[in-house]
Amino acid sequence: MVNLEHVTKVYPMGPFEVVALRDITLDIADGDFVSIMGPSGSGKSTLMHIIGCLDRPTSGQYLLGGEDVCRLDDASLAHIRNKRIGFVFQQFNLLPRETVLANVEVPLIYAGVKARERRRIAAEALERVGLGDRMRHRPSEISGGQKQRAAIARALVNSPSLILADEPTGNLDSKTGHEILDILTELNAEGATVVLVTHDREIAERAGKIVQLRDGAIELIEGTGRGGDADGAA
Amino acid sequence: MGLLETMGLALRNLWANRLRTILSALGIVIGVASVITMISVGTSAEWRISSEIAGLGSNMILVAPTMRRGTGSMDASRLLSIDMADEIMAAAPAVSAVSPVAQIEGTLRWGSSTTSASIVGVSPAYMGIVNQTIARGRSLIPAEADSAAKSIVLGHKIASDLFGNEDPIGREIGVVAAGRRFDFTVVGVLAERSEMLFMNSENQAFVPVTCLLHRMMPIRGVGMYYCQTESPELVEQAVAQIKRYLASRTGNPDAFNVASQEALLDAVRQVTATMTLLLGTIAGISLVVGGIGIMNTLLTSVAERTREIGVRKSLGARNRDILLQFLVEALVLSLIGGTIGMILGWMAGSGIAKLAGWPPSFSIKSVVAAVGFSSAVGLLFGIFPAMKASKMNPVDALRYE
Repeated sequence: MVNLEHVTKVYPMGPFEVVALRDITLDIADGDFVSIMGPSGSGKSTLMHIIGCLDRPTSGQYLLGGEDVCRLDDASLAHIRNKRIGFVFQQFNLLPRETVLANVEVPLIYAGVKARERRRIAAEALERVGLGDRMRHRPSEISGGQKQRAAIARALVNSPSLILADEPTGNLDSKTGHEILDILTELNAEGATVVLVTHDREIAERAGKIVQLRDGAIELIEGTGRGGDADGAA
Repeated sequence: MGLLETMGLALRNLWANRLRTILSALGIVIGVASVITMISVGTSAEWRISSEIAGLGSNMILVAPTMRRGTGSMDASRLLSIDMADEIMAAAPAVSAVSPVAQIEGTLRWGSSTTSASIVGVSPAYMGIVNQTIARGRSLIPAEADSAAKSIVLGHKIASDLFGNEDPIGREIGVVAAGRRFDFTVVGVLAERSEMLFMNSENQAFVPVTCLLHRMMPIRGVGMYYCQTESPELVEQAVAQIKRYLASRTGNPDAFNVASQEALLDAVRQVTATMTLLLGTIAGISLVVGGIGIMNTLLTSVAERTREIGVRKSLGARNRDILLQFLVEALVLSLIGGTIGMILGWMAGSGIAKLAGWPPSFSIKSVVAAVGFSSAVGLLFGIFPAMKASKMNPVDALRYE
């Protein structure tokens, strides 16, 4: 699914250059549940942005499902983000003026799905994360856990094969956080590849594999004993 | 993303920032309103003045001394004398009728009623030249001109002011002008005529020009000559003949203006076109100012929604989706302004027309202008903020606090 080879990311910073990622080689197989761990500034988010096609590596190669995405233009990358990747953010990033339902419809809009069909798919996704009764609410009217569920529903609507979650529990209490992780685990069990970025060891251990980053380089890749199909996760 | 959807999104965003939307649309409202007002007032004014000149008569030629710059006075060589009428007829075969026109202000008196009037000295040919019909009595006749008779033809309004429902024909009325009083016999009353700018015949009383000059006025010249030809084709020829005659008579070819009705119409059209262009330019400037307001609002909106742009891009929005989103927002904003401006401009235009007694002129042209101007302004000033938004790097946009 994800094959990174010697990926480096360098940001120009005035006259200096900041190396965010150095020589990352990483393979994530279809159906894997992988945690990317590391202290802040270790390059976790940069790595996730590159995997999520939001950013391009400075050098090295990135194959997503066998396709060299570094060579694609902006519009093709947008298409990949729309169809094949689902993002879940720490800040939820729901559009505040739209209803929960309308928020979940956004990826479908960019996929060109007709309004009636869109509503049906979005409603289904919301039912699935347990928000069937909150569709008409605005994001400001629901709790943090509910917002993150809505965000997960939004990540799901185009049935992506890869789900990227950047500190999805960072703004939630631990009970709610675990509920969110349960949903991600469940999605993984259903076949989606899940990449979870966190600085929390306990959360990272929900995955089958932990990639430890330090100063932009991979320090360690360890298995957690949980299978990629994550039977014992719940 | 469909256009309809994008428009819905734009409307929701504009609605969410109602006050800002109204304030930034205001610039366009004022700009479009002034453009529409200028167009409609300009059109009405031109129509009005042109129709007056056209209504003056047919195949007419006006002869008047040129004003000398600065002094405003006329020297003897620039004086039109009363005996030129016959000379013009003789020297210009293309001319079929001639009337001198001289005018003083005075007061008319009948019993206890008085009214002020312009007392105009003309020849019997005058009424025919200006297409003026007589309601009662008769027009002036050549015998009265020869004898400088104290006969008077009253304008419609003067007649009703002085006499009410009484029949004025044959009555002796007092005419006070140049500090002296004369008694005139009313021989006719003019038919009612729509009010005119140059020729307000309602408040005029006509007397033989011989009478006016020989009995009442201390000067010898007349203000101008009205000439007429039989057919429109002869006008040009007549103008040339009159000019030649005047040049040889006075030795100064520039002393007089000889202008056909058509030339006057052209002059009016030129003046109103220039005025409309000038006013339109000023209105156009306010439209540009309005456009800058829209650009400012949009730039603020783009900055505020940086994070939203990042989120939308992460969810699969292409650069052109974002570009379209903000461009449509600019367009919707300016079209709202344009529509309100059009309504206000139309109201102002028809208000002015009504006050001035002009026909209201609201054409499809001004609707097209309003929509065209405002959407052009929206596109022109929206493209930069929209480009800025669309080119944002998704990672930076997502990090934006």
